[in-house]
Amino acid sequence: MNMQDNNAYDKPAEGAAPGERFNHIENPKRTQEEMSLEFERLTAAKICENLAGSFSYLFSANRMQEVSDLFAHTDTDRITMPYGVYKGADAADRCFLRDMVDIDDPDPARHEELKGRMIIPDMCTPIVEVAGDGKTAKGLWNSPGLEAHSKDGAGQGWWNWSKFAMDFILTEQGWKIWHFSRYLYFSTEYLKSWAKSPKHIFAPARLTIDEPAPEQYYYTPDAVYPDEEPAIPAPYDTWTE
Amino acid sequence: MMTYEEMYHAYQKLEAADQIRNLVSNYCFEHNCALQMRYYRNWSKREDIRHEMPWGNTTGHRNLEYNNPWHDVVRHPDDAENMKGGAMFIHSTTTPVIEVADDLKTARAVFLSPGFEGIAAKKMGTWANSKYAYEFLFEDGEWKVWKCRIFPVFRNDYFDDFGAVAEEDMTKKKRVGMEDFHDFFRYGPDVIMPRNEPDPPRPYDTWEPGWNFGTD
Repeated sequence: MNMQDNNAYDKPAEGAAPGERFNHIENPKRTQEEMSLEFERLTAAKICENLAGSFSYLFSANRMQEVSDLFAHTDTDRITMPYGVYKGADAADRCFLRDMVDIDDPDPARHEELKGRMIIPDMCTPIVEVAGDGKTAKGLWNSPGLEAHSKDGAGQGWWNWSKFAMDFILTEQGWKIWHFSRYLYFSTEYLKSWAKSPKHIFAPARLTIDEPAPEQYYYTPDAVYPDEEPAIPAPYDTWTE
Repeated sequence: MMTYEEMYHAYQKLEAADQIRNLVSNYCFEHNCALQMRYYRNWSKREDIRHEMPWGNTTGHRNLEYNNPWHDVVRHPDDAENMKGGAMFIHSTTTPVIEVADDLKTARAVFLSPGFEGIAAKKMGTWANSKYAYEFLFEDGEWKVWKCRIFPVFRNDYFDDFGAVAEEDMTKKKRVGMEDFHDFFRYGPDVIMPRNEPDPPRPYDTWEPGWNFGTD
């Protein structure tokens, strides 16, 4: 059968439902090159999911140098936190090492800030789409997270639920996080309803952000939940801004 | 471009990661209904299987079963009776990092677990959050649990703030088969999060000791 009958790449990726392009294959045969790319894309999806998970464990443990090492460190890196946006090759270093504190920070005063800080961002409900060209990927997770912080010498638990959106890029050092955004649903003390709590954002005392955070949804009884904030990853062929 | 051999190797690693995820999820659902005996069958036949729990560590099959008596409704009918009174153990797993060794003989994985339990004797509901680290072996054509360590995060009554209530010390009750304990994290306002509870796995070629388990 002519490989022209293989319609996997004939349909446009944009707007296709997940799996649509590959679920109706008239001719299941592939060239070795096509199969190789598909295996690379499947492997990439697993690697990107591991990157998101690794972020969670390393971030919880304040291993901020290793968190930063998960990022691509390109001029086009972008990290969007609820309190501001970091851009550029040093975005991850500034966000996680300078504004937050690494577990091996030699400054005793900074190290002291780690006491009572427990942040556990779960990564659930994954959607990971690897570009048809195998060079970039997009991921989205729900995060029913929790935190605890010192308050007047005692511990205080918090619910801190959010979404994490990440773009990934294949570099010479392998797959790396390229763009990273956290979208808060709510952040509330353990014993308070999120529907009755004022908007709250944990932000570091030191901030080297490049610009303020964009306006984002945060639950209030009057807030209308936005469409696609962020956009839900869909199949795509190649990265476009 | 991959060779066919490289593609088949990639396929085996991807399949292994899926099977391991299913194996761990299977434990969650079996634990829900206290089918702990079935859970034992998910373990390797080797006698160096290692189970490291908040209440004590065990090596080998006999000690594994002795150290988890209350979920064994077949051998412990008194506990089975107790199970009728509102016991419930829901330990979901999220945030997977699964790495299959390049030689396809072992695998490592970590998970977060936002859990909750119904405590039958106390007629109360609790949160029971923890983290898991696993090592797996490929044995007789199937992936099996080789080592499991649980890192408790908190276990508190529904109406108690987990940030204000110290993690329960579960090491006080001596059970048959327990060999030793591991110190584990207990949250407090002066406590710094530990570096390696757990350490997420990285890609590796072949198994070597030293990852997350105290006995290595």
